[in-house]
Amino acid sequence: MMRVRLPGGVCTTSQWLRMDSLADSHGNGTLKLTTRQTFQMHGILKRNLKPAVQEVNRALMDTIAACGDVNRNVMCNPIPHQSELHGAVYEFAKRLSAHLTPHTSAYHEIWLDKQVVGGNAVVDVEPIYGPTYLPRKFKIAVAVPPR
Amino acid sequence: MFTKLYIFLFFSGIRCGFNARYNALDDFVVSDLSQESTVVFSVSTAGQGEFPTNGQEFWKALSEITDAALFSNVNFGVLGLGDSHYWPGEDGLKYFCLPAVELYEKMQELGAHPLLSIGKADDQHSDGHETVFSSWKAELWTALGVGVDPASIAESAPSKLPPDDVIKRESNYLRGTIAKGLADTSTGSMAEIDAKLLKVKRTQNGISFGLCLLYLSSSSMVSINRMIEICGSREGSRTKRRHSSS
Repeated sequence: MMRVRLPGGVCTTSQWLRMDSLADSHGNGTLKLTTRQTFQMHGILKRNLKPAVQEVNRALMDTIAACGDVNRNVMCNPIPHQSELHGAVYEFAKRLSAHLTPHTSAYHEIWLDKQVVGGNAVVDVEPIYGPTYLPRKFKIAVAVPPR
Repeated sequence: MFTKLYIFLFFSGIRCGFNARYNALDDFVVSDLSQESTVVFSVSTAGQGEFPTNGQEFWKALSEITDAALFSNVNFGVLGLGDSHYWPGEDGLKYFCLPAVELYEKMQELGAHPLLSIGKADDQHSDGHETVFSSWKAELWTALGVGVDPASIAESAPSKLPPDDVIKRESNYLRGTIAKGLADTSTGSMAEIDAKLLKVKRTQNGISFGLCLLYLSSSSMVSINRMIEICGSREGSRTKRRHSSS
């Protein structure tokens, strides 16, 4: 299973179409929209995992911290037409998501084939999480109060 | 006897986590053997040092190959089964495990690397082939990097993973052996400890995650009570929906 990090559940039409075709080419043909406003694909075989993650990244999305003991996909008000504040809240959700995304370079190394600095000279630092991350997942939603 | 020993080795191998399969010799396409990284042969002796019926085609095909580098990526082991006194006289001894010996030599001729020296199990021992087999298989597991005899591992022994914090701390910032696991095409699964890193998830009884109730000061008691009532009566559907929440 692969889940995407998609703050506020906002994607472009072309991103949607690429996820849709990815579900056919690398998954089991289903594309789920989760209760936390993101895409989730099932039935990806191990040999297809890396290409799938790379395609998501080429479409300018990623799968960092969509699972695990970290802050999960940041949600925000899903109905833009009800609030002119949506733009501002969405921007805030994106910043929040970026701020709380793990800093480890393991993701880029494992999934995107980024080179390891010689002799593992560079050691990762997680300024917010530390080496053990969180004891459990953590979830944030940004709400817009009704006027 | 051939089948019994082979299947025993096969299941022991599976228990050690090898992606193993077993075939009668004749079921191998000989040239395909070069694709295997490890092959363990168990060959009984027929007639005057001949291959058994279900291995003769294999041996014929193998004998015709002369490419000295064909099996350069193959590691192999051979266990022969025979009876050192089946044929009387001094000549008789040369038939003892002869097909196994021939196979052992032929494989090396074709570039394959022996994992261990040939085992020649002799039915003349008081406990039959078992004497040689038990020491030979111990050597085999050592050569394959398995520390303990797989037969001594209880089949249902649950794997014991360290606590989550330890797994995370020792994972070098969530690396673990994920990259190695992805590169291993011999299995479609990932190591259990890496699966933890890919997706750490626990179930906590009594708490439903993924459900959020919003109480506003303007909400009337009637609507709040109605809301609680609805949630309470839909436990089933709520639990189900949790699976697709993140």
